[in-house]
Amino acid sequence: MSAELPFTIDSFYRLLAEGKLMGARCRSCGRLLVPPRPVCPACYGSDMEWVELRGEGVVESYTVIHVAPPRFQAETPYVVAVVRLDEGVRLPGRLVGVEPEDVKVGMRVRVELLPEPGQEGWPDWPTYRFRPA
Amino acid sequence: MKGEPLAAVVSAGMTRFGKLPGFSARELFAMAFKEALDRCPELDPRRDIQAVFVGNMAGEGWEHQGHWGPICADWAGLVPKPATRFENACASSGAAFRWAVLAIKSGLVDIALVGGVEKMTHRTTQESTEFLAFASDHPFEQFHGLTFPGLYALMAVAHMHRYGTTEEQLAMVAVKAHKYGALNPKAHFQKPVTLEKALSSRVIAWPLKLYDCCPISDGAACAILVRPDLAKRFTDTPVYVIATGQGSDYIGLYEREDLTTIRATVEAARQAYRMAGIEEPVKELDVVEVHDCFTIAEIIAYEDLGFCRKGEGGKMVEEGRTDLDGDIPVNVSGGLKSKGHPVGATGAAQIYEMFLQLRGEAERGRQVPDAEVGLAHNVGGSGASCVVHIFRRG
Repeated sequence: MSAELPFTIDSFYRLLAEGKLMGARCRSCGRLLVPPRPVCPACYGSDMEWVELRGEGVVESYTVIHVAPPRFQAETPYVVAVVRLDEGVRLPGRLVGVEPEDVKVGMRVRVELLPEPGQEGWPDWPTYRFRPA
Repeated sequence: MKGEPLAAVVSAGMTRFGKLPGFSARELFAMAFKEALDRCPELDPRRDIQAVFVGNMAGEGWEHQGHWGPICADWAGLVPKPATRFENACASSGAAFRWAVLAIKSGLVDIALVGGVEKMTHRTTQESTEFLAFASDHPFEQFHGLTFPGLYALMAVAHMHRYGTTEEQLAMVAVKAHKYGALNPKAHFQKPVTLEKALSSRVIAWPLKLYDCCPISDGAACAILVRPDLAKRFTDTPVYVIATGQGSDYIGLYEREDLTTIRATVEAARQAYRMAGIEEPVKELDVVEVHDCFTIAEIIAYEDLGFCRKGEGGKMVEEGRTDLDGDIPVNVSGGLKSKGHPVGATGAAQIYEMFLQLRGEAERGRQVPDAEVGLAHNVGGSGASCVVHIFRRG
């Protein structure tokens, strides 16, 4: 299926429902693009291929959100981390399965895919989150 | 030639910042404009002003209202002059100002009204949190519950981890801001705060606490900008714009090479210093307004503007080097932290402060003695845009 999908953010989220965390590789310059993009910002190439990511990495920074927009307020306090994946690109996401005070920069985490839409209404994307590895 | 005037500010106006119940954005804009008119009796607005440039971030959210250019022209009594709204998140009116400078420099416009406005406090904090987050990446930041304070918290944790910056140093930025805000009759908060109180305030997005965050405010500010050779027709003491710079960065914080640097600031400053011929900012700038939407943002701004080496911003505030009597006074207006941050108005309010400081008209206790050259630094969102202007007294 992934061969037919355009190299877009929407495709990135749709593929989560198939159990795949995917980036795009620009065949012209080799750059890994997460999220996928239809045009490479480094070389302007548009010949892309899908690359499956292992979904593991380390916490590069994190925060504990106490004041949130209305849709997230009931979930506070929650941790959002910026994770450097082993492939070298970063991905932000929720970090669960650890007490906020125990989160550390450098901590190894792995991605967990949630195939059901994360919210009502647009965008009805599946989502992902991180857990300590 | 370096440092030649590009345009001149001949008047400026600003409402008080804070909770201003019952006033909508258009009315605040008109009130700021009225002050600018009162300061400049030689200006006949309908005869002289040829174009209106307005900064507003997200009136669509807060007031269910877009199309701010003509609305502000209308409430300023300037229909049918051309009027355009600029949106660069919290750098909206800094951007509006830059494009007014360019319009004047182009020769197409001789005299412009530039301003900014935001009306925020009538909505809940959660609603404002959502509207402010519009300026961040939706699919990977907003969608996962990241907030505007959350993004700066990510920068803070990275800065603390790499450079040893402390929560106390962050709080010192707030203490300094409130010290000067207490002396500014237009500031949202006009009282000092102790380090202990700042450190013990409730967590908003760890490690940022309430006193690390600027408030949600209402307000408007504006300036009358003219061709340099026309300045003396309106005032004996114009403030000249001698440099303008603007830069961009990746919208997603997670895509940036370095979480502890705002590259848009580095780029905007590089352009502006070059245009002004400034090589040693700490020695050559007398007064600076930086975009301290969060305390960490001020520390990062010191570094990105070249006031100190990377990683030493925390030490700089701790040593008092950016106090009124320090090497380079920063945010003696109270900054966004204490003066308030009606987002679309902030860039214009920084220029209002430059106008006061470089004419020696700021209040006692926060006026930089004999200030000649100043810099205003206005950042959009989590740093995907930045505008820097440098001013010199006439």
